[in-house]
Amino acid sequence: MLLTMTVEDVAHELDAAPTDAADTLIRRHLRGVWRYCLMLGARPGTIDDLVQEAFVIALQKGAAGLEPAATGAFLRRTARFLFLRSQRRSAHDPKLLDAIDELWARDHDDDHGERAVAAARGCVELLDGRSKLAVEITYGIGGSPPGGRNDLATKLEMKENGVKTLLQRTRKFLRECIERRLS
Amino acid sequence: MNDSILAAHEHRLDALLAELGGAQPAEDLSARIRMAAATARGARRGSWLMAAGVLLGVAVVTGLAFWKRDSAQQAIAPTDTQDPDKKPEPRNQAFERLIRDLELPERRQAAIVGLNTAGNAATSALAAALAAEQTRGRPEALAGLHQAWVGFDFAAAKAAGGLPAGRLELIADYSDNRILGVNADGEKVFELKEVFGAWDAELTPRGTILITEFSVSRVQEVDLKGNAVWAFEDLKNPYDADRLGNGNTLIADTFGSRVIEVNPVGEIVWQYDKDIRPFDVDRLRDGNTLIADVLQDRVLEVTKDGKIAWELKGLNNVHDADRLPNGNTLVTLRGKGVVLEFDAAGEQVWKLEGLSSPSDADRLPNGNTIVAENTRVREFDASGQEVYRKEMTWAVEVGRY
Repeated sequence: MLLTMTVEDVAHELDAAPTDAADTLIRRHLRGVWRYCLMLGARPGTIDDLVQEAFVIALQKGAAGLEPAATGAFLRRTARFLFLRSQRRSAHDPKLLDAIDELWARDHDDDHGERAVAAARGCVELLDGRSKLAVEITYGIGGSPPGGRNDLATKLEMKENGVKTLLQRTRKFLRECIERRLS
Repeated sequence: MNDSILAAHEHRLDALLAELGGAQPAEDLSARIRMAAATARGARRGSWLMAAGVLLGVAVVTGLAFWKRDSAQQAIAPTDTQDPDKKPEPRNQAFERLIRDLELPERRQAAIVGLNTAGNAATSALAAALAAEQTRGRPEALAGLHQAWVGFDFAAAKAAGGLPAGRLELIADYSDNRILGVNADGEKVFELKEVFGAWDAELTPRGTILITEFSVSRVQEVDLKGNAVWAFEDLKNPYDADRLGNGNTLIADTFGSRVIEVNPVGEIVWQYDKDIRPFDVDRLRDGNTLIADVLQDRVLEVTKDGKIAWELKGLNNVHDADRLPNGNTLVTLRGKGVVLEFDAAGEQVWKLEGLSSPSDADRLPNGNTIVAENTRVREFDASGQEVYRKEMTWAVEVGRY
């Protein structure tokens, strides 16, 4: 049903949530839903709009009155739908999105992803030398402007293939490190 | 670990590292959600207006017929009711002097004002000068003439709509569901209420307002009393619409993932829909179309047959793109809070930063830049100094005429 509804359709059906309930909903779930969208693969520049629309639907749908866990699930399901709507359908594998949902439910749902961010920060701190620099430059960590593989190759004085291998190895280390810290 | 689970872990790693790199929700996102929720409630209250759209259709067709007739008459015999006794010779000499003044930077503004004040009477002289200058090709002089021409169009449009002469600013206020017209002192000239999810407002040549309603997926042309004279609704959450010189309407059908040109009877006569999510669209003077595409973080210029003639990439969350008279392109990046000017080679030549979620920016004839940024509209000079400010609830679009 949700797949064919717009914000306005939903607004036709239900009254708005009271303001204090809306504030609570936003305060409690905003960061988590935003992180979930980032994990789905939405680009930071477009996530705000996705999240905004998801919350508007949730408020109109009366999701503010549900249990917090159910509200969170509703918001993520809505955000997932909106994300898919904004993308080319063929670009996303449903199995991947289901796997992300499972990962979120297992590791992030209880604290909206706070522990995972701390784990990632700790794991990046464990890196050194070129590995650390590669991650910092790629993601703009520590104030350095984000750069592509070409930038990295220049700055690290490596060939592009070497950079690719370095990043693959570093990402594997970080994945496993984060997994260990969250388990 | 199967492929999907591994890919999910990769996505998580990317997300976590992006957050360590500074990816964050916008500071005002909570406030925006509250306001958007209020907007949706307003849309529901006004939904009866959508039902009335069918009845308005009859009025639209009739109105367009009159408009076409009036336009044709105007083209054949430009009116000059302001001063019928004035002798043609001195007047033409005065226009020629003003046109010459356009080439002098220190006199340009006064010349533009003079030509705009003359209204229809200056049409022929200005058109002839534009044609001559296009052959001659001096960019500075051509830019001055173009600005005067655009201003002349606006002066005529204001007169046609019964608007007062002088500066008019149209501001789309998304959260308050309204379009506000203000004068040079920031005072309200008119207000259009119950515009649901107002994301764009443009003055048309006949003095009506073309409004884009994001929340109810509609582009509608209304008079200053809010009466609809034209509407197009086969859209999915559009962000921008422009009335073209041929009477058609160019629409950024944002979540319909297309740009369309619609004729007055609602037929789509042109479209571009190749992997885009357009937030802004403009028809350029050479017939190409400039599109701000958020899906691929780029501004692209496409030809009539859909070929990409020019492209600028790496523009994250690009909400607006305007081709300037000097050939450069003014780009608004909402997420980064900046307005950038690029030359044709893609080199950044100017930057305005420290803005609060800007969604629209226009270069004004005086060289300043006006920006709609959330709770205000501001004008900046070339050095980035603020020279004007109008507080709003949530301004998403501004146009000065």
